[in-house]
Amino acid sequence: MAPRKVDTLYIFARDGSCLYLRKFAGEMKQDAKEVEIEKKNMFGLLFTLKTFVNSITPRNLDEQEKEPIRYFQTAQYQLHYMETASGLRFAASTPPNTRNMQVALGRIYRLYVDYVLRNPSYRVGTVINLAGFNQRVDAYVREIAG
Amino acid sequence: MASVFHGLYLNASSLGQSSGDLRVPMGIEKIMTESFRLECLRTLTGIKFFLTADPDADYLKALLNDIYIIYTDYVLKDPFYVVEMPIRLSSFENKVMSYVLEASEKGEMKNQNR
Repeated sequence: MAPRKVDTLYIFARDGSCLYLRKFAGEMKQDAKEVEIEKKNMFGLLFTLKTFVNSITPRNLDEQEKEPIRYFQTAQYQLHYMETASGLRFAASTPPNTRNMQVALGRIYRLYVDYVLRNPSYRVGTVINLAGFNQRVDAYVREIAG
Repeated sequence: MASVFHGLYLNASSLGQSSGDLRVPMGIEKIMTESFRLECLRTLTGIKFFLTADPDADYLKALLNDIYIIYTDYVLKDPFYVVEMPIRLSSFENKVMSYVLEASEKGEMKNQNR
């Protein structure tokens, strides 16, 4: 895979709560309130984006069908998105013009399944605070950064 | 639709700016989904042009710039047009249509040659 530099990783539950927010981009001090605002804004954005995309898609969607979003890009960042069948949302921000990250997000989902879901001490739907998962995610992000 | 996009645009912009300097919002320039892509051009005056197209249509940026020029020539220079009002000028629409058709034909040919 060509190098992809992940700046931030978000994992949201179906109900909008942020289960995981991890920044890889160096020393940016944010206070707790700013972080909470960021989580809410990000989920709100993803939610509205999904509604917008479903209404503007040229494809004829069936009843329950949704239009899968791959990423969106601004001048300052690119946000890659993947939603699982269970409604879990993975989002990763990278510098603009990064190549497609669907495979990478899939790998991170796999790490989630192996190190979070299968962890007996983790209760599904709660905030993820597991050293094993953190380590694996760190290692993978470092690996794909090239 | 357009107002939803405008809101999204601003949201995306505020999530990107850590400094809080909100002089020029730098919002969504491109959305890529499985069946289509959307590209947006924001002018210095805050007007946003956006196009939806095939996912492999990579010629949209140039086309958007052309459409901006057509807008200034056929809409802004129309003596009866009031800024910020809906545009109902067939000269503008025809010109845009011909540019879009030409661009998408060229785009398709390029894709077929790949």
